[in-house]
Amino acid sequence: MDVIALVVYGVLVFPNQEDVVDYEAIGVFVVVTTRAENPVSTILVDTYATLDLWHERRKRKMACCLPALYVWLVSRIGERAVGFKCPVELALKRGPEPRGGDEWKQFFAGLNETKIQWQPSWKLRSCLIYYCGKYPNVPLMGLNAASITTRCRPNDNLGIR
Amino acid sequence: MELELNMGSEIERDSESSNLKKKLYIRVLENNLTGLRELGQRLGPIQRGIFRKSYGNLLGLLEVKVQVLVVTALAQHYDPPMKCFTFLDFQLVLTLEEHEQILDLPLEGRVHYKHLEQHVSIPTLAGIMKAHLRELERGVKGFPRSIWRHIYIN
Repeated sequence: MDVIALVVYGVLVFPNQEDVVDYEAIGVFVVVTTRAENPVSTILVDTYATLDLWHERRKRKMACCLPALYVWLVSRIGERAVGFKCPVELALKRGPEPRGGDEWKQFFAGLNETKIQWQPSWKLRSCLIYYCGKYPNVPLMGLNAASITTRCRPNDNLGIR
Repeated sequence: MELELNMGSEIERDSESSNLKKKLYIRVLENNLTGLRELGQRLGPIQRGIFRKSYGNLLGLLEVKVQVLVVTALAQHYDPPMKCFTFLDFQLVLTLEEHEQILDLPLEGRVHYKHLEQHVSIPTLAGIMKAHLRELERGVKGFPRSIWRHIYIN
């Protein structure tokens, strides 16, 4: 079972290299398993870092935990689904209909605050971390030893109301 | 029982996206996860339960079929300095709390993963993988993803 988890880490969670489960993925896996550390923040920062690199056009591939990003998105843009306690289950059962690239582009261009799910049924926590000490940022450490800052202004709508 | 799985090659999809301000092209790597998915489905409910407890909902995420075009379109709305997605009249942020639930790995009472510049020793790895020590001693960067072809489920 550990081997399956390890391969999932390399293929799905940290797909850094195309054909191999690389050493970084293995490293995270071993630490998470042996020292019972939680990799959630690393996975999140990896997603941000990938989006950043992609926007800077330094990387043309989106190599991060895409399913997590996708599940998050699906629960936001779909119709209100009641009774789902697990976001992944929601994405599996109520995933969006396939559309073309242009259709999605138009969809997002016309997306306004009335069409979005602000409080999906699976969300447990009503509070969230949006500042650290005196700073209006949350610093998080990523996989490639890159420090990245999740910058949120308290007055912005953070997806909660 | 040995599993014989159909392994497809990896597919890279080129999809073009653009918006008014800038034209960006994106290439999203989409793995063919069919083989690994089948393997996950062969685990019984109890095994899946144990797996989820240790590693979160990875098996569930594995089954999610990502529509690459949606992610591509979403990525166009990403605002790098603000670290959020900007739309017509609102912004969305990926939060730690949501990711915690998506991955089903509760943060409470657990330390965040800290990246250390240290490599995992080969014997440790061999222990997790139940032998194959000689294979690993070649000093490679990793091992092939097709490793799951060699996984046995009792």
